[in-house]
Amino acid sequence: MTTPLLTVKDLCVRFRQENNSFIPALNHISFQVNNNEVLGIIGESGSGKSITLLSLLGLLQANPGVIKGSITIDTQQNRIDTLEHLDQYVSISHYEKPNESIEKDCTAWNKLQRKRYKDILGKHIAMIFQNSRLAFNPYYSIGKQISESILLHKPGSNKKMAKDLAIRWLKRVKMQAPDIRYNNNPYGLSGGMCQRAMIAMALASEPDLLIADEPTTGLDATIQNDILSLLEEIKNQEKLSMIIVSHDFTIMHRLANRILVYYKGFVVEEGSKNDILAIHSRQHHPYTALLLNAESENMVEKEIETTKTESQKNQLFFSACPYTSRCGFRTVRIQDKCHNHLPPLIQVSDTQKIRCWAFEK
Amino acid sequence: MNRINKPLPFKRKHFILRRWIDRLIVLYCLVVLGSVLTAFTITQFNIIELDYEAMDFQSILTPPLTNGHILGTDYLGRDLFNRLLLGTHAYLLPGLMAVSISILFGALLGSLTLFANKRLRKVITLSTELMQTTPRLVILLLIIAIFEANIYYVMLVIGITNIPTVANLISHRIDILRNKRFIEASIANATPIHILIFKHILWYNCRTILISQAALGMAEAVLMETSLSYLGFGVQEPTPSWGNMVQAGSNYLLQGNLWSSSIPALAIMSVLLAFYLLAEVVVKQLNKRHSL
Repeated sequence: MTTPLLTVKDLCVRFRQENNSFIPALNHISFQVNNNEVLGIIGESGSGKSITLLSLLGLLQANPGVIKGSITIDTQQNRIDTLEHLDQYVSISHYEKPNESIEKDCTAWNKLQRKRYKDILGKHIAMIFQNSRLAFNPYYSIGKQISESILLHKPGSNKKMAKDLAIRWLKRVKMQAPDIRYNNNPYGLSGGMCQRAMIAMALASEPDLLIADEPTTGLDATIQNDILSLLEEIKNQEKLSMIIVSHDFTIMHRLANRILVYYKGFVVEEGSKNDILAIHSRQHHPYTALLLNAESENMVEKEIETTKTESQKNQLFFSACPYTSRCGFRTVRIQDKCHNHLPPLIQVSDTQKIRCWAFEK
Repeated sequence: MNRINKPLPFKRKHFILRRWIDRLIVLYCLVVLGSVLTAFTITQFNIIELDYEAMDFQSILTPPLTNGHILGTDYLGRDLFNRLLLGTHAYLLPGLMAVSISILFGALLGSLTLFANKRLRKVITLSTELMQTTPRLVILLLIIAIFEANIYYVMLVIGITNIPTVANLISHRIDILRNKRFIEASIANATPIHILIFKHILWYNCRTILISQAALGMAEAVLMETSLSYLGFGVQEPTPSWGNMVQAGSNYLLQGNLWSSSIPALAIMSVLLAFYLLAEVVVKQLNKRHSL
């Protein structure tokens, strides 16, 4: 058994509120990404998908931000624990109680993180942004930006080599007339072309892990399809590992091997693609079932009612299931438990875990 | 239907006219600034021997194109054309010094605000307001009174007092850029901080500000130099400056001799206009290239 490329264990993130209380943005997130595997993260907006990515990339500047957990990146060359010595910078009292208080030396921690991530970003982890036109500097050509990235991450390459490589990568992502597009500014390209250029830029530094943050939002259906096929093809050819964040099940269906379902900063369900995307299976967290039904447009009236998000105050949910207020299939048997205890991730099959008391044996 | 068939308010004629006006402006800038530079190089390296002190007592206060004087002579019979060419020495190098000081340090100080230091922002804003409310001529006269009437001191002061203005503009631009996705993306791509600041922010995103500020600063330097020389605090006679040439000629203006003061005054005006138009044209061209 080979070691996984990325291991995240027990990641907790908090944000400060005005009255010095804390919003639990991520709670006990654990997952791993193996070599040549695609992990999909799905959930509604505000559920913590982007926060997970930001904390993986070490770009979370908030106070206190990451307070607990470990992130290990294990490549062929070296093994890096990016949250090493975190406990020296953070002091927590009354952990997961309503009167929780956290002190973190953020300036020192961010400085340390910047130093650590200097060798990781771009070289081991590369990122594809949503709406990639905005992710390019509007004032100079995409080709120059790609070769700048190559010059940064490939030591010993000169400008000519970088330009050739950039054009090769543009050709690789099926950009038409790559040597002309090399000199185009991002505003001279269509949305699909920009997305292709973004993928080329991310792949040009040959990362081990590619993170795609909603790679197809803002594109029309045919271009979406093209981009997905491209990602699929590159994944198979390059033996890449990927993390894909989206709220679209079709992307998951095309690309993902394993899927995490997020709800309010918790992983509510984890499983292989076949486990999660099986609409008719009864083994689902109620939230996943809701998402799947919403996708397949056969919602019954009762379920539509539960999709209404109530303007609930963010609070520490450690004494109840986070989904209680919206849950459709509470039964009398477990109702008491749902309101008073946080369910653990319960293993229901070899590959599937669900955070719901209904599946407790 | 009617609406579509109506002729557009702008005709093709107007666009062509506007394009020709643009071209004329560029030509004007090139001619004026080019001739200033040529005059400077000719007099600096003595390509043509020009004597600005030789007095021709046969022709005092003559109009242009008499007795072999292209632009006429002043009250001592000195050739105005030669003095006009030599007058470029008074402001070109000192002005460049002032501009480079203000642009260089202003850009550096402004880009320091990227690191979210609120106190620094406050210092920059307050000092900009201070500089804009204090009359600069008073400071300059004070400096001249304390030290001596040297044009390089004057330009040093102008350069330093322009730093907060440039820094303020850059820091405002950085405030807009800070939350842009491409800055975030380049941080996520581990771009070193010096490349991020100098290449992505200062060069590609602030160059219109920097170039226009440089041209405007140069115009201001010319204006300051000539007005101080006019008052007698800048370049001293017999060394020619356009300012003291205007001053010398103005005594004879009411006697009906227009040329000896209006020719250097026109030269000042045209150079100022050239710098202002240059700022506008360069910014317009750069913006045109990046717009959709």
